Amino acid sequence: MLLLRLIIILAAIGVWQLVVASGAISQDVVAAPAAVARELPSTLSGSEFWSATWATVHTWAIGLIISMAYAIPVGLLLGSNDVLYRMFRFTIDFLRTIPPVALIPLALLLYGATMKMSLLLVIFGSTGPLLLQSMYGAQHVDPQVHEFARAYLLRRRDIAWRVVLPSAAPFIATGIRISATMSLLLAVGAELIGGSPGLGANITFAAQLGDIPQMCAYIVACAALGATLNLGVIALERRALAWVPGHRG
Amino acid sequence: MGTRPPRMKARVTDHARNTTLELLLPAILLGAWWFVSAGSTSQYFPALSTILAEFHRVWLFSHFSSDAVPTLEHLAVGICVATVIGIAVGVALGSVALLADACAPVLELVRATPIVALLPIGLLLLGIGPRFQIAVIVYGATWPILLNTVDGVRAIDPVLRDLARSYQVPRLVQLFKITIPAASPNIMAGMRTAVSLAVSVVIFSELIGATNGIGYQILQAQHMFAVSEVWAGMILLGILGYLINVLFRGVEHLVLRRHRGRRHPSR
Repeated sequence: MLLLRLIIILAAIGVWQLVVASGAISQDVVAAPAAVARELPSTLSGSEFWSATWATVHTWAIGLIISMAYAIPVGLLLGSNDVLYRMFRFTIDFLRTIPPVALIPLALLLYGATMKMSLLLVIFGSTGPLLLQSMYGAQHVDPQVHEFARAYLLRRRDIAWRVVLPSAAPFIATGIRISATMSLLLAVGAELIGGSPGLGANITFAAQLGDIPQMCAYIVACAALGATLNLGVIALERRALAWVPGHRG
Repeated sequence: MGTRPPRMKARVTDHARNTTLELLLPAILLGAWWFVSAGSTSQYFPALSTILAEFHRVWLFSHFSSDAVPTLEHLAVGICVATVIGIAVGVALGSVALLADACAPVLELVRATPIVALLPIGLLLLGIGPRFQIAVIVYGATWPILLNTVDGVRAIDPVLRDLARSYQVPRLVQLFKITIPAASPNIMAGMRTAVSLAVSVVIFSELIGATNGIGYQILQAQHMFAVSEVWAGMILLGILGYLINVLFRGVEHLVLRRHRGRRHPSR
């Protein structure tokens, strides 16, 4: 299987090389993998690349942490109280469907091309999935367990920590996974369109200079970063949820 | 009215109470926004009344057909094409376990790549214009549908498949009567992700390279520093986003009629 997977990966790169080499797609648009491979060492050795990567990761992480810090508790609270849930349902549904991208022009006017601008976007975008998933999670607490806890007069705080949070954890994890992907998309997007420092801005610079191999090198770096962060989040999730029976074997 | 059975009456009042509860918060928020922002001198947070007036001027309906309609058209075309591609390729990959496993790393990498990073290539390749918008939507919306379809097809009860094979059900009938219906909860889950992603991505693409569209219009407003026009555009996007969501839920309801009552996949 490993061999087969390797073959498919190589085949994909081969097709890419062929498409560019045959001229089906001009080299002024997409660089051939060979050209990108030649470009990568000089890109990777520059400090510019690492500071851009750091800026993107920084925005991603801070945005995600801020959203988690408020969206998860609020979601759990709304999910465990029927009246509150009904009160907020329509409002959350409405806000959630506003594409976060739509905020870029306003965020740009407010903050200019800064990290604050991308942060605003990341937080707005990652709130929705987190809120929704923790709401579902709190609603899926086994009613018997809940009653049991209440019958034994467990304190509210203990019910929250020992009953609601653990049974909602798998849902919250899904929310974090979705938000993590969304946050990176928005961070790179804000950089690409708004020009705040990061990998996205470097893609735009390279494109404006007409340096196609470098542009492609940065895009490949974005893909690698996306895959790495994704794997990291999944690994963390496996670790944190190892005790949940039947969780993502 | 008095002849109504008491239980039904209780349900009606319940429903009324719930609706009131749901609309209470938006009403409070809107009211607060209206009064707090009234007479606002802040450059970036204009009064709600100004924003609504701007909304009326721009979107009802002078720019509606020139900017909102193209965006919606691109979305509709793009999502339809993406659905066909996503289901076709997804069923093919899902039916051949070996192929799906072999392609898994490539698919995961593509899935993890932030689509926006690829937009500059698309722009260079297709140039500014509707072709770019539609291509971007198709690309972005295909992946969630494809990946979910693969999951759905692979999760089909093998007994069902063996049964179909031993009764020699023709392949095409198998495909449309067994495989796709059985995978439909997953396909719809993928489409739900795809639709919201498509809305985001089309606005991205309109901010980068378009000659019309909602995103383009908002960008023009931003360049002219017309803040309330930017706000008005965002309100339009909120309303349209919500309506698209409602529309999609209707479609989903219709498609999944047969699956109701069964457990839906969490994604």
